[in-house]
Amino acid sequence: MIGSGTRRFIPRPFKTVMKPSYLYVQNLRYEMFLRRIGASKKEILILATITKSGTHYMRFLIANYIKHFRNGQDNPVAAREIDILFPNGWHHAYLGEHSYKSPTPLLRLIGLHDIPRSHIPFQRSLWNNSRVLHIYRNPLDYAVSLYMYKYEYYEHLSGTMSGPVEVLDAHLDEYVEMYLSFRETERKGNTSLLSIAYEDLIRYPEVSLGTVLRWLGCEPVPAVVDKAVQFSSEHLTALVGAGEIWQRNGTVPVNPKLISDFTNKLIEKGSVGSWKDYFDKSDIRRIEKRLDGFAINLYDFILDS
Amino acid sequence: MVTGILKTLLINKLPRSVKAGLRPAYRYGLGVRYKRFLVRLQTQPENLLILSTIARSGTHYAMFLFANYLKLITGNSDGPATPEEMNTMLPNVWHKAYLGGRPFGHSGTRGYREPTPYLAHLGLHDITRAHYEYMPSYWGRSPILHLYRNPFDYAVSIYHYKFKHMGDFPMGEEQGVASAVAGPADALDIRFDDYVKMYLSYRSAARGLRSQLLRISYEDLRRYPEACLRMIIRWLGREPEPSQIQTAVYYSSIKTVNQLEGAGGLIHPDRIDPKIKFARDGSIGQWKEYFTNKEVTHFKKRFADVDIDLDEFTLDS
Repeated sequence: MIGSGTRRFIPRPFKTVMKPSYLYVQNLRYEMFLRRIGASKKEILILATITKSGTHYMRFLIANYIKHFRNGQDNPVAAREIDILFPNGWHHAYLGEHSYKSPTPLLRLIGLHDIPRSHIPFQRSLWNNSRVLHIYRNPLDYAVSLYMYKYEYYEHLSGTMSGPVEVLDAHLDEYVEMYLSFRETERKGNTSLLSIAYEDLIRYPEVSLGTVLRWLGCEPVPAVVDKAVQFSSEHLTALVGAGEIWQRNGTVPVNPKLISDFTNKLIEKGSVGSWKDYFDKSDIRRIEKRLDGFAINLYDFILDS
Repeated sequence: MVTGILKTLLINKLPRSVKAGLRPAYRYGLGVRYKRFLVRLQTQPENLLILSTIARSGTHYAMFLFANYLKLITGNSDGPATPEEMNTMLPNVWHKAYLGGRPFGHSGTRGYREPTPYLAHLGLHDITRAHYEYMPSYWGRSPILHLYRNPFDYAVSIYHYKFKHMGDFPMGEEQGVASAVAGPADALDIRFDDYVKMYLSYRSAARGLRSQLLRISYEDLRRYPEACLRMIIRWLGREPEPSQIQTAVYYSSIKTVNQLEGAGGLIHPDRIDPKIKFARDGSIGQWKEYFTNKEVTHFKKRFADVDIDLDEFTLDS
């Protein structure tokens, strides 16, 4: 479509007027692409999550479920295997059309073609007639995980943020935009959207996976669910909501000891409430006030394990 | 709509083929009447949560959870909701309240009562219960919460509640078969088609991407009530408040409900005999005390014939 360079020079009123036509064409192109790859919107489950909220843990759960369900295989899905089974980010693969790769045909077992991931707000026109699974996490632990795994341990950005407090200050608007877009969509109804809190996902993985499968119209087999949970929980960084593709594919140099020390610390604490080591009372009050401005109550989130 | 003698004539005297031909128009008429009733109540189908469950699968447990949560979240709780309170807050059985009784009688027979205004906190007008298969013509725009249970425990529960004492109280439509029901296996035999139709209709609606349909198993609801209640509240677009979820679950526990029922509370005001407890122990896997291996094999095959694999259900705790 129109490149980002060109887009910058188009006047705002003109953009507003053109938006419906633009969305219409975008949607048309998306549907044509789906047809070309032999899929329909109905067969796409968009894993639309706030980053660092268990996206990869959910991918492992589903991957282990379908592999074990099909083959009764007794090996967990490996870290690198997950990106072969579910290779697509929704935005790049389905809108950009450049990086689409065929996902595992095992997804047919649960009536799907693909489970692309996404970290953008709800896209009503493009995602209608698809299922959308939304996972989010309390904003304080989100900030800790984002700081550690996106900044501190990521060589290119290490040292650019002083800690989780600064990270949350910088990312809160983005978090709120994402969070509210899904809440509003749920309130309006008429969509196939299911939200799960990361805190519930790791405390009750069997129920979470079971509910997702029921929502897809399948009956979760208890023994296979148990096995999928057992296998998926071996991926500690995914379990603590910190899975990153660069950790798995080795494209970025990392200090594995730093990562594993911090990950183990989170595991010991149950992954919920790690924010207490970083936020003082005045930080919390400030965050509370900012969230109040969006009619979000910080204490409605699960802040403690 | 068509009432009285004319209706009786239409139902009883018309040849089957004529009735079949008139059915779409009849259904259309009912649909229009249903929508008009909602307009009169100043509500929309989107604001009715249909708690559509297979009987004995946690319908009233879910209602207690909702009632307690609503009381807590609106600051009106002074302890567990009593059965009377719960029934006053969520009084409506869908077909009786919104259509006018079975089989959808005339509008004058509607038993609608005003539900609690606390429901506005969840963006709802009513949470109304039903034990029907999925009805897209009425429920197409309503959120649907479907609860179901493994068929063996369902049979045990329905046997104890419906059939065991039916001989002592000869009323209700199944009285004729009550004497033939010697145990849960017979009860499952009688209710097999009902169960299958209900279960498959929701499973297939979910597969068909029916929006705002949430299926939860009784076994999950019973074992992980906090997680399930939170998931339901989120599904309605609200952020569940953690401590109130915890308290609502505590207030709705089987133990609390049994105590309230023991103190004379009527969970199901229309039950056959007030002395028969509505809430038993609700445990998972109680069927093992009632079904022989031969009966299990027989039912596994019957269910497999209609594309339901019993090994996929949670049969044990």
